[in-house]
Amino acid sequence: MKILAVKWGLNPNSSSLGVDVTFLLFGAAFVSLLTPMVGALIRWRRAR
Amino acid sequence: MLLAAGDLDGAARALGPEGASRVGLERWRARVGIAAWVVLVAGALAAVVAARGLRPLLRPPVEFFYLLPVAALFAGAALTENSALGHAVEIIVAGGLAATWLSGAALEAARARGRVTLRRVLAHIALAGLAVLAVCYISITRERLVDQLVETIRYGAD
Repeated sequence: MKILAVKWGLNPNSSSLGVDVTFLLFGAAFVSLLTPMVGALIRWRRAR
Repeated sequence: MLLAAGDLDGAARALGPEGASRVGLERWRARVGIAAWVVLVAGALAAVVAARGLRPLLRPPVEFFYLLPVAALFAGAALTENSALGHAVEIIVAGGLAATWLSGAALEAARARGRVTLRRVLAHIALAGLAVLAVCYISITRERLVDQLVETIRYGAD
C-alpha cells in the first residue's frame, strides 16, 4: 500500500474536525470577538 | 450536490419527503445567513453614523495594529489546512479586523468630540460582537462546515 497524500485536520472515518482545526476556528473567532470588546473597554476606562 | 450548490427547490424535488427535513434545515440556515448579512450592513452603517461621516473611520485605531499580527498568524496557520477550513479562518479574522477597525475608529471619533459614555461603549461591544458572530456564521456556512462543527461540539475533536 502506498500513501499518496496526507490531509491534516480531516479524518475520513469521522465527521468531527481535528483538534488543530478546531483550535484554529475557535481561536480565530475568540480573538476576533475579544479584541474590539477589550479595545472599547480600555478606551472607556482611559476617558474616565 | 444540489444542497451544496444552494438549489434548495431542486433538492426538495430530488430528495422527496425523506429529505424534507434536511432541505428545511438548509432553508433555515440560508435565512439566518441573510440575517447575518443584515447585521453586518447595519453594523457598518452604525459605525458611519457614530463617527458622523466616513473621514474619521479612515484612520485605523491602535487595537487594529494589535490584532493584525495575531490575525496574520491564524491566517498563515490556516493556509496549511484544508482549503475550506483555511478560507473560513481567513474570513473570520478579516471580519474581526474590520469590526475592530470600525468600532475603534468610531469610539475614537466620539472621544475627540467629548466624553465616551458607558452606554456608548456597551453599544459598541454589543454591535462588534454581533458583527463578528455574523461573520463566523457566514464563513462556516459558506464553506459548508456547519455539520462538521456541530459534530465536533457534540462528540469532541478528533
